[in-house]
Amino acid sequence: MNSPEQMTVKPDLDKIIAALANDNEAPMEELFNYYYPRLFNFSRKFLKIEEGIDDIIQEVFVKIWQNRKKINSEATFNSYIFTITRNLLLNELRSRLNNKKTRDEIRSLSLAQEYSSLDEIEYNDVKGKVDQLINTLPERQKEIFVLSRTEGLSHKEIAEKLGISTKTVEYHITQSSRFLKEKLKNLGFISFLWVYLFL
Amino acid sequence: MKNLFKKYYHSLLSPGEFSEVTDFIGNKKNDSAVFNQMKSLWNEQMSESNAEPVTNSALFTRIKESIWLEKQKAAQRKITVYTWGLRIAAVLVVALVISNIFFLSKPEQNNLAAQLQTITTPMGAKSKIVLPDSSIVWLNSGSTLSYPQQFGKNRPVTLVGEAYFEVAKNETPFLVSTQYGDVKVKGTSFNVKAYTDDNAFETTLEEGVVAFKVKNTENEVTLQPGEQIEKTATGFIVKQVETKYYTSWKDGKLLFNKEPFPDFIKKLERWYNVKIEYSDPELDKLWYTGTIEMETISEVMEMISKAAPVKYCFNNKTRVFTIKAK
Repeated sequence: MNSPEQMTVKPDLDKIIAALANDNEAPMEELFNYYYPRLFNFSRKFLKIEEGIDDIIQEVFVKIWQNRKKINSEATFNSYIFTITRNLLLNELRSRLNNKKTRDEIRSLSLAQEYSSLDEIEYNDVKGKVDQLINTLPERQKEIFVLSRTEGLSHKEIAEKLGISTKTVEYHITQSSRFLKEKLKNLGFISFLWVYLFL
Repeated sequence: MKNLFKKYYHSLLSPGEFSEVTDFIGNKKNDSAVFNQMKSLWNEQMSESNAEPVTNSALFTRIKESIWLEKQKAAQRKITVYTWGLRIAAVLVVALVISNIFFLSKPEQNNLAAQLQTITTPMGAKSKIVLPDSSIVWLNSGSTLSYPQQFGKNRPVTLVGEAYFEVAKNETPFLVSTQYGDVKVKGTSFNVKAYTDDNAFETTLEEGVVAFKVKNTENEVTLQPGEQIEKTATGFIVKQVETKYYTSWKDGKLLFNKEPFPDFIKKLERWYNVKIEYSDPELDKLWYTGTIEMETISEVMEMISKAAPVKYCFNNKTRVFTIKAK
């Protein structure tokens, strides 16, 4: 077993490809140790649900083994491992989106935290208010929040862009998000009352 | 769309955007755009220098197992190609002399591959298979057996997991390949246990004679009825056993005779397809004698907690039993 430090070193693909083509499966372990964490994170960001990811990764590695004779260069390997992972994940996501239960699960895992307690109808009632509320945030907090919620940047990307620490970004986002969530809850409640009174 | 995908990946969507991005992904017409958005995420994740989680050795074991099965299939395919090769060669010589034209097309790989049957029983289930030579195989939970649809000069089968064989008497050798070595017989009844997850191997002979050859060596041992060969930390040993304790599973019964607690738990996990956890090393000192036939897993757990100074709980969400000392 490799130590964690070694796993971060990119494996020598030329050597591994040649060994695989020769029916030698020994380098599969090095490939696995390097690619497993990266494939896992990629799959989790795409599928949202962790269950089932290992089965997909197993299929990726078995397919690499089955097609070892056709993989003759680093470039073919790179495009092969991407294509096979991509197709398996996309098929899986599409079929899960067609199932109400898994679709709802994916939905709740891909919403920003301030919306987590709203359903779609409640959201439609309050969405006009969101921009107004964001405008009341302090300048820096607002800048960070917009980069996250409008451009979809990760906390790390925002930190790099603004030259501040990831911790600071997280702090501001949690603050803004908590503020919005609180306000939206009240609004949702009020509009609900309003509908109720005038029915 | 690019921002929406980024928001989806980083879980930053609003409820309205969720429908927008998933409707887009769901439409096959958008394939190439979806591929591009996936490629951006791929490039980002692949260049990550320190990715977590670090590894998953259980998954790698499963992958190794599948690759090993693939290799066995390829080897069996080669044997079939070779015997066909001889027959075709004779025809070919005649054809070549007459017409001097080379017309042999590529051998039909798929067709030959289809001649190999692979049967897998899930955890918690068992199956009974009749092979082409009318030998009978009981395949235990979580096991895989593969064999050619037609046997030729020999009868090769590949096993991952546990199976009981009643081999039809026949002059051609019957060969069970496992990750730990090969078991060769002519006609007899025996049990082979070769799961890969616990690195344990056993062959128990009820009738007849079998020979076991350790993988990658020339070492061969012959077993007599009532004998068992077992893999230990230092090598393989042969001992006398009461075979019924090792073969009763095929009749839907689990018999235990002073079974050490860890082995007992492992058998229950496979038999009932559940996960049973305990961390107290004191429990390893317990052993169990008895028979399990029609009992449900709850009844068995109840029985354990009555017979031994332990209590158990079941987590409905993770489907895991946890055993603790009282």
